[in-house]
Amino acid sequence: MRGVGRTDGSRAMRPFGELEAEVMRVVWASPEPVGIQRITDTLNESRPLAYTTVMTVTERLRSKRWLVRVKQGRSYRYSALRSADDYTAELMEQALQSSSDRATALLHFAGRLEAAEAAALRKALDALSADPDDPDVEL
Amino acid sequence: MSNFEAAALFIIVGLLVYVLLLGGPVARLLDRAHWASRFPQAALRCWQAFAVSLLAAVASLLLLLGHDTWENGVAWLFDADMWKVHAAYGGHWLVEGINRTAPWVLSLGVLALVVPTLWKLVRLRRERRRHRLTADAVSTPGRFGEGDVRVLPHTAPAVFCVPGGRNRSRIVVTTAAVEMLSERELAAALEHERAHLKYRHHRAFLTADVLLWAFRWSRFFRMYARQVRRLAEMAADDEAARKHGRRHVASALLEMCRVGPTVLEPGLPALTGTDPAERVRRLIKAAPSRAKAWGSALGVAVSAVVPVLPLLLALIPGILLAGTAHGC
Repeated sequence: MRGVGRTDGSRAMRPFGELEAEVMRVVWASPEPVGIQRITDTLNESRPLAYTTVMTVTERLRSKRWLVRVKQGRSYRYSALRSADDYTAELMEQALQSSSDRATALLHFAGRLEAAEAAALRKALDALSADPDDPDVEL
Repeated sequence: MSNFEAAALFIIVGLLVYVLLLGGPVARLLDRAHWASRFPQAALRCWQAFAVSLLAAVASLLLLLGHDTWENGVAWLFDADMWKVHAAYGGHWLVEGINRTAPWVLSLGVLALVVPTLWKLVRLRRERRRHRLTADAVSTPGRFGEGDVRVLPHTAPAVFCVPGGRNRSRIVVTTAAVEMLSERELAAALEHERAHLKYRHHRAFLTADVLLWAFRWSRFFRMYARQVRRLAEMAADDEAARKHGRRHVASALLEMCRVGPTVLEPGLPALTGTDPAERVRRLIKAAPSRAKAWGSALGVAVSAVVPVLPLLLALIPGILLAGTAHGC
């Protein structure tokens, strides 16, 4: 029995990250702490998932301190430690960070320009004739 | 035998000169080279090759100075006569103390590099895992061109990627950025991020960060860390420009910088090495070089040859003595 459960777990290994995200969405969407069964039922609306798989993923999230659990009756109920907005804020803070030391976790597209310099560059760019190397302009 | 003794001294001096030349004038030349911004990815490889070569040269020097380890290694490797090897490498002119301290300096140096690297790696992985989960849980998948991109609901425009192995990297764009950028501009910005992931620039950044942390006093490594970031951004810009035209890349960059990062830590911008004004000017001035083969061939050649040069230099007397163990 245990062997079967383990195979199931390792097969779900690759999309684990995706599953974790789905479990978080279910927990965030619920106004009160939810049990594994409720999470499984909600996720099963889109695809079949074993109760044990959902439990493994949920417990992983708890060990990562994304979820906390409280005992209610004979089973555990899970709730999020921080809101989705908190995580978004943290991610965005790093994404908008322009100093290199702390920005290695993410690579971001833009930097920062002085307004005057940006305007001058915009003018120069507009003065550029039809892009000679634009794949669409090219024959 | 005396000619061999001279050879060893010559090699120690040679390595020293090599370190001083590579870390000084040669690096300054590359730092100022105009071709670097035309072939940013090739130049980036050159910088990495230089850094590896410099570290290898210093390590070889320390090994040579602590010649007991070295001589035994060479005698074993080339099946050479121990006494002849000793005559070639060992110097009565060297103080015994140097011989004994050099290996310690080397091991301490290696330790001082490996420990913070591992520590930073563990911390980065944890941080990236959290960002990846956030991106997966909070954003919705959007389809812009190939590959999947996450759309994060947020009022600040941003385009960025969370680096990771296969299937684990994420490109994220905020709803504000989707609204602000035109379709082509957005495609260009996303291509820029894909190029970062394709060239594994995050690894180059990590290496540069660790080396800068360890050798902040060294001018070479300060230049190296700055150039790695600068050239990586240019290489990614070029990749995007080849696909979507430089006008759209420059335009997207200008749009994003207009409202861009507001957190600007004083005293640090010199380290970022990514001056968006320089990137835009460069895109306006000239099309990304199409002579990619030439540039990358140069990069590959330099990155293959330069790192092994110091080791070759250090091995010359050993190679000359190859097989002498049976001669006696």
